[in-house]
Amino acid sequence: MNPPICSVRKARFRAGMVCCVLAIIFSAFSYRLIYLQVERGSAFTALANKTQILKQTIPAQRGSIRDIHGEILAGDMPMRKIVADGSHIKPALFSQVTELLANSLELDEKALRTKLTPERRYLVLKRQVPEQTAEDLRSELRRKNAQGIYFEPDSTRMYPNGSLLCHVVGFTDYEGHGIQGIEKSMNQYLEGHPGYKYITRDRAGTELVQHRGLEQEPRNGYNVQLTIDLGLQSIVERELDAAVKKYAPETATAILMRPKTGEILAMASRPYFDINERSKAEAEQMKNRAIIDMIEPGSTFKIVTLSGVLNEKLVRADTPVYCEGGRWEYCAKILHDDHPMTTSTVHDVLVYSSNIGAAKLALQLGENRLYSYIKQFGFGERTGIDLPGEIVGMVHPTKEWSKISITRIPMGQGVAVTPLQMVMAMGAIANGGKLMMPQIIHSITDDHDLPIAQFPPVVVRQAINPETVKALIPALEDVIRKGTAKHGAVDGYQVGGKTGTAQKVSAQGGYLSGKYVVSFVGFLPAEDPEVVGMVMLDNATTRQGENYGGLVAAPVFSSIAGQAMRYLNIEPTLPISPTASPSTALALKEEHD
Amino acid sequence: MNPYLQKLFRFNWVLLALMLTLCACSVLAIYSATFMRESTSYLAQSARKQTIYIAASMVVFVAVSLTDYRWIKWGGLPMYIMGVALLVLCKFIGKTHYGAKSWIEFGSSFSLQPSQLAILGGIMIIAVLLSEYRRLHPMLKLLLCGLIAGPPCLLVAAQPQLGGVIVWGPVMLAMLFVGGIPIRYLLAIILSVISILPIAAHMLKDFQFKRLTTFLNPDADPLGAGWTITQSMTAIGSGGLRGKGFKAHGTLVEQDLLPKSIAHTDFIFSVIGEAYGFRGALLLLCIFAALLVTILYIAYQAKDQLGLMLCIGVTGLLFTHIYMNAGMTVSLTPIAGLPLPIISYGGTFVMIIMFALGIVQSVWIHRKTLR
Repeated sequence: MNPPICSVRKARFRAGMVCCVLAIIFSAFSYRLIYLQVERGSAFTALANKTQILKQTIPAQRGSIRDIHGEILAGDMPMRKIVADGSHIKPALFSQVTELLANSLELDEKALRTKLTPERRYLVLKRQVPEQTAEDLRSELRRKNAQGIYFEPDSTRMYPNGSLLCHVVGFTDYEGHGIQGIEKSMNQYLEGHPGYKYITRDRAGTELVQHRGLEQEPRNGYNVQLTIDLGLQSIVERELDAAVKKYAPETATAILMRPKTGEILAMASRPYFDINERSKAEAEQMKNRAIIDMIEPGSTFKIVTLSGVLNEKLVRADTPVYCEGGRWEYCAKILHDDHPMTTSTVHDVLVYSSNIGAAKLALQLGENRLYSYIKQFGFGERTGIDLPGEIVGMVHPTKEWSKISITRIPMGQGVAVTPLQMVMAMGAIANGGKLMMPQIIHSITDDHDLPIAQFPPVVVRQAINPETVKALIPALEDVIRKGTAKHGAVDGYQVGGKTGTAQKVSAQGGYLSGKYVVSFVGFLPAEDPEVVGMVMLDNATTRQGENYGGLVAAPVFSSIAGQAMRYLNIEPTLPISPTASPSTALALKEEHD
Repeated sequence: MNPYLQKLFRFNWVLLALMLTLCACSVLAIYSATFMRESTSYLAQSARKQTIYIAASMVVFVAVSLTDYRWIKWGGLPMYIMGVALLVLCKFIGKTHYGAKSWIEFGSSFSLQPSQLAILGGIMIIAVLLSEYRRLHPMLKLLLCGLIAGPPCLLVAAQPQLGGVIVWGPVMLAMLFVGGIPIRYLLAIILSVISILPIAAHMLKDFQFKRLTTFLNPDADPLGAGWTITQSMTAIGSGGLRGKGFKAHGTLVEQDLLPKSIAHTDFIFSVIGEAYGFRGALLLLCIFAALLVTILYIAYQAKDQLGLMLCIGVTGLLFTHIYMNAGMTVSLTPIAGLPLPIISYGGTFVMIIMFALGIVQSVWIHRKTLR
């Protein structure tokens, strides 16, 4: 039976109405699409880009500083930088997350709450967090199912040897730029170039490796190898500490240098500090006395005058010099000798450190030639060592000299030098007259230990002739054998050297009475010098009349040098005496007193 | 001439063309959603699998088309009963998906949502009811329709799968409306449903309530319930007028911001919006609209009221899915978890839709007696 027509017609009409309703609803939908894609399309595009792509810097590792044997003096230790993306933290978990962060990172929870907001997309919570702490935090967060905390690579500078060689190694500032020592002077090599990458994260915050954008690998910093030998350095520091304990000087310095190449083997200053706790150190503790202290050298400077007269062939070592019996008036000023002599020789002027003899020889040499020899030995100019803050010292040009300058400068008054300059000058004598440039950098390698730069020895100039040296060395040996520095002797090796005892210069001008800078510069074995060393103590506390370079600084040198020879495994050149060495004898004697 | 061949020549070619276009769109969209994860091989074959599903569904489509729809009406009841039976079975052996126990798995590769089976069966029975028993009092018709819709609705609601319940609303409404139920009855039903809504909302599970309300303010919890919807809107919005292009890099889909587990199924429209922009999305929508209009035209041309009612039912079914799914991606409707017909990845749903379209095709073919 067919349905009545009217029913089908009615149904068709209603079907048409359904069609209309659909059309209307579809129009609403289309409008929504227009709104999203056309009207707000660019806004959503920006949002899409913002939420996904993040530029992340990949920090470059700073190169390490090592000693000659590769022992690490300064190096980067991997750490974590913990950052938060507030928009990824679930609002319900916010208080839990902040509490957890505050506890495990030792942060102020209140301050954290104000800083960490859902709008904050990148907040550095803490830098240089140890891996272990970071890992603990990560697992805690995972347990709470909290998102929005990320762990970025970071590093911290570690100085495994603490205070050893602190002045030379130096340190970096908060941002990892070197501001002291090698860290500063070699900063451009140590520092690498940080890389970056554009990364995308999925909803759980993990990086989507398959879609990593532009990427630039970081270039790690270069490693710097020093000429310093930590074995020698610790010998030097130990002996220096012993001397400081014994004499309580204001400051003390010791340097060991290889004369043939100019390599610095050890360099230490007191007072000192622990690099890892540098924030507690005071400025005085951080000074590298070897290169920034300006001191009057005293008698050690006599080597310059003696070298001058011998090199100019004005005298020979055995040429007699009249020493006025220890008291000589020149230009209404009186010069004294501690070891009065009447008729002496050029040789003995050095051995017994005669001020009068040195002055007379200087007069013979003349102002201009004396000045030029001072310059020849490198005084009054920077040695060029790769350490920051080296000073020039003070050598006045001859036109500024007074009448008596010519008698005072030879005995190391009225000039100011750095300990390093003194060592290099003595090194020139030990090295056949060749003044070397001091070297502290042995080589630079990249992070795969491939060489970047080598530093061959640099001869600054031939300061004096080798023949002059041949005449000088016996005199310097005799200083030890029978002169002012008997305590500087080292059992089994012939030492050559010179003592210095200079009155301390007052900041107000003139000299401070009773305050002395005592020093000893020497080399050994004298036949073929391997090491030049210097020990200097500023204002040592001793018994009356004992504050002399020969009595205070020379024994320290002796014990350093003796151990250094054994450490470097250098054949003894003299028969080793069965009895105790002079320096230990002195120590024994003093203990008995 | 062979009657089957004759029938084949009577195909509604527009309907067929639109359907095939949608199939092509489906493969393209699924490929766009999964190509970047091809190396992981799990989703690599998604597009390929979908092609196979479509091919299998085509067989069903042709078979149903060539069968007289008046015969099909007898198939409605078994299908409906099977659907309801499976829904009951689902309660025990069902597989939980997004918090709802709504899938039955047969083996490892074939799974079925019984609610889809039940609604198609329901449409068929109601079409028969409203066309063959027109003399019945409207109130009785409503009661019978309620009895048909009730069991599957309650079973689906208990799963709980909200989308499966929502679909019944427009389908029933359209069928009752076109089936000649006076408007005053329908208004009364609509009003009573509205008045029951608050109570129903109270009984919803927590995640469902969140899903339902998130679309009102997706920014409230952008990492929680609002995450997907925010990402979906960002994806569609950033597609702009022209879209990011086929196989473009840096899409939200690629970055898994639009989660890979749903990008090719429920959120396929976002993928299309992002990759092909407003033009692509609108084109797809136009194809759907054309399909719906075609079905309504067929309804118009139907020989009897049964054909008309079947077409209306299918229209309602398709429309609800399209609107709820696409609306969800642009935060116009709640997240109901309804797939986009034919486009969304999923074998059984494609087959059920093709079955429905086959009925429509059959209505067209059999509108005149064969010569």
